[in-house]
Order: sequence, then structure tokens, then C-alpha cells
Amino acid sequence: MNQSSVAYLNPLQHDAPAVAGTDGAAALSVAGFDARYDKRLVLQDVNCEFPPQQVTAIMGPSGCGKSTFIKALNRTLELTPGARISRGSVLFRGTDIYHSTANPADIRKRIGIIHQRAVIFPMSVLENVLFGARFHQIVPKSELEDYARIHLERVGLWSEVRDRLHASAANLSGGQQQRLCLARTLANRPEVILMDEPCSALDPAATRRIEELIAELEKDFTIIIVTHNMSQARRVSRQALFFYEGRLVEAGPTAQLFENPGDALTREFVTGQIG
Amino acid sequence: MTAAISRTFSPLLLAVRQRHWGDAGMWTASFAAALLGAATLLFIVLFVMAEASPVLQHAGGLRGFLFGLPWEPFADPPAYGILHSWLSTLLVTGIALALAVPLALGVAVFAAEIAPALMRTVLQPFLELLAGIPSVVYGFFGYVTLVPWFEKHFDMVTGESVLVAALTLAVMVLPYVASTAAEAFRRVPGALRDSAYAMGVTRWHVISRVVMRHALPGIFAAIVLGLARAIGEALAVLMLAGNSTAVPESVLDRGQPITALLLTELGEAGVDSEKYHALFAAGVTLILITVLINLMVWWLKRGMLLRHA
Amino acid sequence: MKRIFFPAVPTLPATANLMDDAVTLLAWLLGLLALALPLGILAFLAWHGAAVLSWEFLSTGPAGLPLGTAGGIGPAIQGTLALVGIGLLLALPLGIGGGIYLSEYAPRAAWVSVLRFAVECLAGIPAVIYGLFGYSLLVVFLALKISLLAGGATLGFLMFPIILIGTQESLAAVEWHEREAALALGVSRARVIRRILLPKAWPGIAAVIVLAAGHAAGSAAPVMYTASTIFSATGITLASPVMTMPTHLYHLVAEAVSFNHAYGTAFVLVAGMLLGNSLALFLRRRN
Repeated sequence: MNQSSVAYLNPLQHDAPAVAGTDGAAALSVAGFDARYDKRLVLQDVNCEFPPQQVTAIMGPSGCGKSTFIKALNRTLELTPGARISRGSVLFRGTDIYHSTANPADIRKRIGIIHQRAVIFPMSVLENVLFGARFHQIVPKSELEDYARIHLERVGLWSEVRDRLHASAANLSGGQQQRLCLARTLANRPEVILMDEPCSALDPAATRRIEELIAELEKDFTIIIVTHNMSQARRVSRQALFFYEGRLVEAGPTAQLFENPGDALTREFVTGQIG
Repeated sequence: MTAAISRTFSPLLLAVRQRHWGDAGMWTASFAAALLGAATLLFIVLFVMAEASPVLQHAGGLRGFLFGLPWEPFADPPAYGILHSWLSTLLVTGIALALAVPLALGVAVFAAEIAPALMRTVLQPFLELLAGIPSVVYGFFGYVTLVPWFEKHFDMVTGESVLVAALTLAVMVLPYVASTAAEAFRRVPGALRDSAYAMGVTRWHVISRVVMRHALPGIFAAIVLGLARAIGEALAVLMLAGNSTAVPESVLDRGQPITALLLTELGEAGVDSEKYHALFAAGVTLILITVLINLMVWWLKRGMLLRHA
Repeated sequence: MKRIFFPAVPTLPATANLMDDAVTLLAWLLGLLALALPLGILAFLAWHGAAVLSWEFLSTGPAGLPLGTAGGIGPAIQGTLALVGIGLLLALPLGIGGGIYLSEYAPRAAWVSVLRFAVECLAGIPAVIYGLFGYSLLVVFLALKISLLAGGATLGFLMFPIILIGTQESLAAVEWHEREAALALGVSRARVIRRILLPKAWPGIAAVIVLAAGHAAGSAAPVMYTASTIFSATGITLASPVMTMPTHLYHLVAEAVSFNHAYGTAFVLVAGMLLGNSLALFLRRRN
């Protein structure tokens, strides 16, 4: 590995000043947030902060709006026709990502997302990993293959795909595909990584690998993960948010939410009475 | 209105704001292409209408053109009425559909409900084959098979007639109606079928009472599609209907549907002559019928979508 | 223990089963008819046309007195190919471009619905009207005269709405999360269209192009008064008229020149269409 590639592993050193600088402690900060599908209100008056370089879990019963919320954090919600945020702001590095002069493509580069269903593009493994990186011209052409290798190693996929880098990525298993999506997002050099139920379509072994990866990535990225699996939330996250019917009911350290919840609804959820 | 304008241009504005120049370029190019498409329709309609409008000034006016006058370009004064022509179109199309629709629905029922899986996959390409055979080949085929047969068995001077054209047209229209109707049957939800079968009734009972009823808008759309195809058919009827400018009185008479009239007379129509304008007016009637038919299909399709919502 | 059988449903009336069987029989007959018809037509043409088919038939021009009783249809084949080629030059960029717009960029607005309706009308307008329009606009008004250029452009107008609708449908068939996952990386829409959507939609688009070209190649009405001639002394040039297969077939039959050659011409036309359809089918199955 040459000198410059070491820097790739720790994006915060390479990029602009660290998050915990000018604007306080939070990586992302949400205030007075409402979201709608056409006229229907799906999220109401959400206020919260996401601490940097930690894993925060978002939990709640199905239909409570957690997927909508997480997609709104990097402006991928508006890609769905009719979906929009109707009130409020999401501050990233001190500026509102929904401000009229904001550049959505840039925001999506810096706040990456992986979805429940791994979406593999119709190209080779190598081209998949490099899809975003190539567009944003993150590294010069000559370094692209090395760059891809670094990220594939990071997600533990390199040994499994090194012999078929140029073959179609469609033949990988579900767990491999999800790790590929993660490598692809990492290669985009984000600062925050959003995950929308990344393990719900995977078997327990694949799930465990993803969770191990999350633990490793925590030191370099802010990670926000939506999960309906309570034990997963306890395993991976430091902070947790509990949503119910479009409202943020409670937020705090994960351990506290499970052992000593402040709100009755939260208690009912963590004891399995609702959801 | 302003909301529609801003929604139209927002992809371009977003592309510029994000400095995605390739995106802005692609938007512009594809937008231009789409607009050119709409402009083409407008242009065709306007152009043909412009060339047709002098007909209103002719002796007899619009009513004469459509109903009163015969088509006698060599009379004194010459007359350019298309009564014989649209009557021929009506006769040929009507008979063709009357024959083709029941057969096509039968084929559709077979393809969607009764055929075993292997036959199902084979049937679709075969129908597409039938649909793809050029009109002139159908005309030729009818000319060498049906025309001599009719001449022999009906003791006619020429076998070219409304009926022969209609029979050939029926074969041409069959695959369109059949595959569209089969598609409509396939869209009937499986759950509906299953609950019907669970009542213990026969397959035909399910098909006729449940499936066909549910697919009715789709069946109408298929028939209307067949109608459009039949009305617009040119070469086959040109070769088979006989090209007589007299009003056909029986199905064994010769006729001259509008499309055949156009092809026969255009070559001999001096530009800007009365005949030229009359032919364009005939073209306008075809365009109007096509647009009306498309409106009907549009309306039927919306009915289908609402049903399945 | 003895089992007693109670029918859960009263037995069906005899007529119901009879009806079912009758309809099943009828349906089978019709299905077999639908299979037999195209095969029959092909076989008929092949049998009668095989006598005339030869390499000479395909490559040389018509000869004999009157013209067409001997020789071949070579120039007609070339003319048809040239016409469709020119038509595609017009129809491909407009059709694919318009299809991309309607599938990826068009907003939900009233004018877009009108646009979609206009395109569907265009696809349904009879070929003879395109011939009429081509004659009055291209041949007369723009003084292109009866030529390869005028006929090719007319075929271009004919093919364009078919290709547009086919492109739009093929693109729309690609699932939503493909777009979402790619755009979520901050990549531009154009990049997503170029690298992800078009590659996925390509077999469907290619199939539609093949079908549209086949349809145009077999249509006599649009080219009869815009491009075709009975016999072209000159070669294939943009400004001169050309022979085409469908009009040549019409001429052979209408003027009763040579039925043998007519069978041959018809067979070549249908064989070409068969090839085209098979190609389109193969492309569709790849999807």
C-alpha cells in the first residue's frame, strides 16, 4: 500500500475540518421537522441531534416513519414522487441541507445511504464499487483500481471477489451484495453513513458480518441505522431514537432506553407489547 | 399554470445548480425531441387540413363532399364526393370486424386460459408474425387465392369485391384483437379467478362470468384497436376491393375504401387542383377518425386502470 | 369404520359440463387455426416462390419485356434498405430522445398528458396519411421531388412514434430502486440514464427499433408517391427515386407482369419480416 492510500482509510484526515469544530458537537441536527407524502403528514415535529462518530439507532414499529425520516436526512426522500419535507430544517455542518441554494447531489455524496435491498448496478464488481467515486472524480484514473481494492478490503470482500472483479456483480450472494453496496458508499467518501434496515434481508451470518463492520466504521464515521430488530439496536448502537406514529417519542443512550425508558410508550415497545 | 411550468423546468434548473452539465444537456436534447414529436402531429394535421380546406368552397360544400356528390372527375362539371368511399370503408371494416372479433376473442380465451404452457409461449410469436406480414403481401395472397375462388363459384366477372377485401382484412385484424384481448385476460387478478373456481364451477363458467366481465374494458380496447387497424389499411383493400367509384350495393359489388381512393387518385391529381384538395379532405376524415378512436382507447384504458386500482 | 361420502356441492347440471367441453373444443380449434394461418401463408409463398429464388434474383435488377418478367429484385431490396436507413437517421434520435424525456424528466402536468396522447395518435395514424403528408410537404412544398430523401424522411416520421413509445416503456419498466440507489450516491441523472437505465432497457429498445424498421420496410403506402419508381436507371442516390420491394410487388400484380416473380418478391418480404421478428423476440427474451 502506498502512502496516499493510507490517507483514504481515514477520510476525516483527508477532508475538510472535523465535524466537532465550528458548529458544536452534533454531526446532524434536525429541528421542527415535518414530512409529507402529497397531503398526508407522515412525520411531525421531529427535533433531535446525532452525535459524531457514533452509531445511533432509529427504532419503532412498522409504519412509524423511520424509513421516511432517514431518507430525508440525505435528501433522497424527494426522489419519491410526492414526498417532501414541509417544515423544518436539517443542519449539516452548520447549514440547512434543505436551503434553496443547497446542492442535493453534493449532500448525497457526503451523507451516504445503504438500503434494505442491495441494489447492484448492471456492471462489473469493480465498476459497481467505483460508480460514485468515478463520477465525483475522487481519485485520478490511474489510482482507481487500487482505490477500489482498499474499500473492498475494508468491507471484507476483497478475498472473495479478487478473481472476478470484472465479472458481473449480479452473481454475488445477498450478503456479498450488501457489503458491495457498503463498499460503494464508502468509496464515495461520505462523512455520515445512513443505513435503512441493512440486515433485514440477510441471514444471521451475513448480518453478523455487517454488524462487525459497523463497529469498525464507527470510529471514522457517524452512522445512523434504522432497525426493527431490538437486539441489533442494543448490539450496535450507542444512542437510540424511538419513533411512534410519525412522532419522535424518546431519544437517549441505548442502554437507558431499554433498561430505564422515560416514556410509557417506549417501555411498551421495548418490552414487546406494541409493534 | 405556473406550477406546471416550474415543474417542467425544475430538472434543468436543478442540473444547473448542481453543475451537472451533462444532465442539463440531456434534458435539453430529450425535451426538444419530445416537443418535436408533438409538433409533428400538429403539423401533419394542420398541413393536411390546409390542403383540404378549399373543398369547402367547392360546389356542394361539405355536405356535398360527404353525402351528395358522386366521384366523377371526368364529368362536366367534375364532382368530387366521397360518399361511395366512406360507405365502402364502412362495409369492408364492418364485415371484417364482425368476422374477426369473435374469432379473435376465441383465440384470446385459448391463449390466456386454456392453452397449455408450451402452446402459450408459441402462440404469442405466431400472432406477432401474422401481424407483421406486410399489407401488400396480404393483398397479393387474397388476389391469388380468394379472387379466383369467388370468380369461379359466384360466376363473377371479377372476384375483386367488398367481401373479398373484408375477408382478407379480417385475417389482418385478427392478431391485433387477439393479442390485446389476451393481454386483458391475463391482467385479471389471480385471486379473482381462484375464488371463482373455488365455487366448484366449470372453467367456461369462470371465463364467461368472471374473467370476461372483468376484462370488458380491455376487450373493448382490443376491438377498437382492430377497428383502427382496419380503417387505416391501404394496400390490401387497394388490391382486392375493386376500385369502383360507384356506391357498392351488395357485398359482392366492387368498392373503394378511402385509403384505396387516396392511393388510386393521388398520382393523377395535379397539385392544387380540385381533386388534390378533395383527396386531402378525405385524408382529414381518416385523421379525425383515428384521433376519435384514440380518444376512446384512452378513455377505456383509464377505466381499466381505475378498475385495477 | 365405513366412510360415508356426502357431496359438498350438488352435482353440476349436465349442460354445464357439455358447454365447457364444447367451448374447450372450439377454443382449441381456434388456437390451432391461429398457429396454422401464418405457417400456411409462409408455406404457400415458399412453395410458389421457391422456383424463382436464386442469388441472381436477389442481386440483379428486373429484366425482360415487360420489365419484371425476368431478372431479379436486387435494386428493390437496396432501395428498401436505403429508405429505412435514412428513416432511422431521423427516427432514432427523435424517438429515443423523446422516450427518455417522457420516462425520466417529464413532470406530472396536463401538457405532458396531451403530449403522450399526441404521440399515441401519431402511432395510430394510417401509413397512407404519412404518404399524403410526405407528398405534399416534402415532394411538393420542399421540392424534394420523388426521391430517396423524401421517401426516407416519410418513413422516418412513420417510425418515430413507435420508437418513442417503445423506448419510454422499456425505460419505465426498470424498477424504481435502481434509480434511487444510483441517485443516492450524488450522481447526476444523465449518468444514471446512460450507465444504468439505458443498458438495462436496451434489449427492449432494440426490439422495438427492429419491429418499427420491419413495419416501415413492408409499407408501400408511404413510399408509393414519395420515393418509388417502377424502374430506376440510376443507382441509389438521395435525389433520385428508388425501387422498393412492396411497391415492386404491387406493380407486378397490378399490371399482371409476372406472378412467379411476385411470389418470389412476397417470399423475400415475408422472410425478411420473419428474421426481424425473430431478432426482436430474441432481444426481448434477453431482458
